[in-house]
Amino acid sequence: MLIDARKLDDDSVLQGDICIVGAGAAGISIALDWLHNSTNIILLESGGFDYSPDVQALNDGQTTGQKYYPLQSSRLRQFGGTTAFWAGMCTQLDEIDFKTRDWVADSGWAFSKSELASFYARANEILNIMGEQKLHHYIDSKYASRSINSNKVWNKLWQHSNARFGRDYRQEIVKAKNITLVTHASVVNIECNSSISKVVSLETKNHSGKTHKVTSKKFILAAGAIQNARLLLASRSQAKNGIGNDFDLVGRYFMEHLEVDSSELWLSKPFDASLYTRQESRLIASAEIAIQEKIQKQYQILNGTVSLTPLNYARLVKPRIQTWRDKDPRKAMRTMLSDWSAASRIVNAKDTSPLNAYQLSTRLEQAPNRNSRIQLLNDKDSLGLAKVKLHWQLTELEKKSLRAIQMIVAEYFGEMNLGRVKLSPFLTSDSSANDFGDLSGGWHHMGTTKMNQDKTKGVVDTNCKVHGIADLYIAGSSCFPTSGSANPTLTLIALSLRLSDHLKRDLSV
Amino acid sequence: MSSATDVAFDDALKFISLSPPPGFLINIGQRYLYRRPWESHRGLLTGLLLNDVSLSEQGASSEINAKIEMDFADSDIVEIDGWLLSLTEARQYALLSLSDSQG
Repeated sequence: MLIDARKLDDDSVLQGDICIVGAGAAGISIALDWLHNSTNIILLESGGFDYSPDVQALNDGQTTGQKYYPLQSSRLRQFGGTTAFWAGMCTQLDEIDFKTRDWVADSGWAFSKSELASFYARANEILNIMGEQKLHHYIDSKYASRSINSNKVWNKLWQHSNARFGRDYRQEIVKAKNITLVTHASVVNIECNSSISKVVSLETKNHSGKTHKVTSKKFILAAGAIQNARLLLASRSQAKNGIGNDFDLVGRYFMEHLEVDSSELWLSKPFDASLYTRQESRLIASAEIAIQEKIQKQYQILNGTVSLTPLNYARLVKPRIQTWRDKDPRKAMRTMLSDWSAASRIVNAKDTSPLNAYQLSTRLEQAPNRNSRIQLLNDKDSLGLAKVKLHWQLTELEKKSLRAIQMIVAEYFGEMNLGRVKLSPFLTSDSSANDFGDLSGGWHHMGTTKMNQDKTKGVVDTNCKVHGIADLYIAGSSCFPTSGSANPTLTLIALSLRLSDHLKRDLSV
Repeated sequence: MSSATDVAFDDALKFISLSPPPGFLINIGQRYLYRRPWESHRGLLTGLLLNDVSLSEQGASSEINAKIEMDFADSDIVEIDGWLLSLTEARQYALLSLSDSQG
């Protein structure tokens, strides 16, 4: 069923068994898991099915610290969420990403990777990508002679999902008898009982000036890592620091993936790099050079992977942090793509052989850091919700890791007598510790409601339930204790499906 | 006028050519010795380069190439002007720079 909240009577009350806030990858994945069930699901979406400038403006906020994209254009507010313009890159976290590493403060998940195995398999289906076994067979059959593997580095495989949740799952969701999709319903407050141990209702507003309430047995915030934290922090009429924030953790530990041109690889022998460059049309899978777990431990570094781009093209492309500056995500996207197209035209027009050299770009995990955080501003959006400030803060561990990864990759290509690596200027030994060059983010927001069984160390428990609140859960990458270097969508869907299974057990469905 | 980026680019092109211009390698060698002045002796460098090289039928060149690959395997690498080079090859360039300066 579909309801446009702008057409509902003012002060209406919607009642369900499970209320999901946010119809992006996490929220829709959970809703799909309850299809054709007697449980009444209410799926709240802030926007509609198409882009709306007024709704998108609700994401507006400030950024400080490490240079970042405008918050307004870093996520999409519409049914299907940011999958409407994502690159579709999917890969699992590594075993090490779940482990407690003594050189990474606040690292470690409450469970190992094996806990997510069955949920990854279900997430693959939602994202329309292959299982691990089939993927390896595909790569082996197509790229058998091109694999990098040694005691220092290995091939981390990626798939490129063509899933667009808004396009692919709209009809299924709207037609489901037990699911009520409510568009133009932006949550502005979480109302709890007097002891703040249970959610009573959610208050929603829209640009038609109407206010509604939603009651439910269970509530799931699935609005993205910035918005999940924002909703908890802004619901402060009953708790001065916000809901679930007794230990000042909500909004802290914001993590992104560091993506940066980190060095150049100059080859002295032929090397077919096509598996690593993502330049094939209709790309299905690709690989990045990853660092073996024992080497990460030996160097005491964060996890990261390296991709290759032909240098004659890469030298012409501006860093994304420079081109993605517009608050309108459509314009920001156009500017970035125009830059890429212009570079391609120049390269294709030149009647010269390509250089036997590649730009190495590193995708790096960010260390958990409580000072990297989301906070509320006094300024409010058009629906009266406090805007947020993102303070993105990196540390010397990220810098050390970026540099070490180039050394390890250089060692591999040197040992194979294939070529030599030259560091980007911001990574040379005489660069300053806080120089990160033209570092970009992956538009991946994580960690702001981190998971930990200890309520003094995490906002949610291992079932993604907010500590101290009986019926409030959080889905998505905001629950990640650490980020790994893998793009988060596949894992956040797997984690959301794990939450869904927990709720089925809890509700005896 | 060439920019700093253009100059670095040209340097890189020289580096991967089959016969790098001696000037480029000499510059690398000089930068190496600037950081390790105690190695600024032809005899010392020669000894370090050939210390564990047996002059087999294949010749010292292939032995040194193998030593370079072993350097990378053992993480014996040095950074010079951003280049990540094996210790052995950096010493080769240092020796070249001393030979050049001493005629």
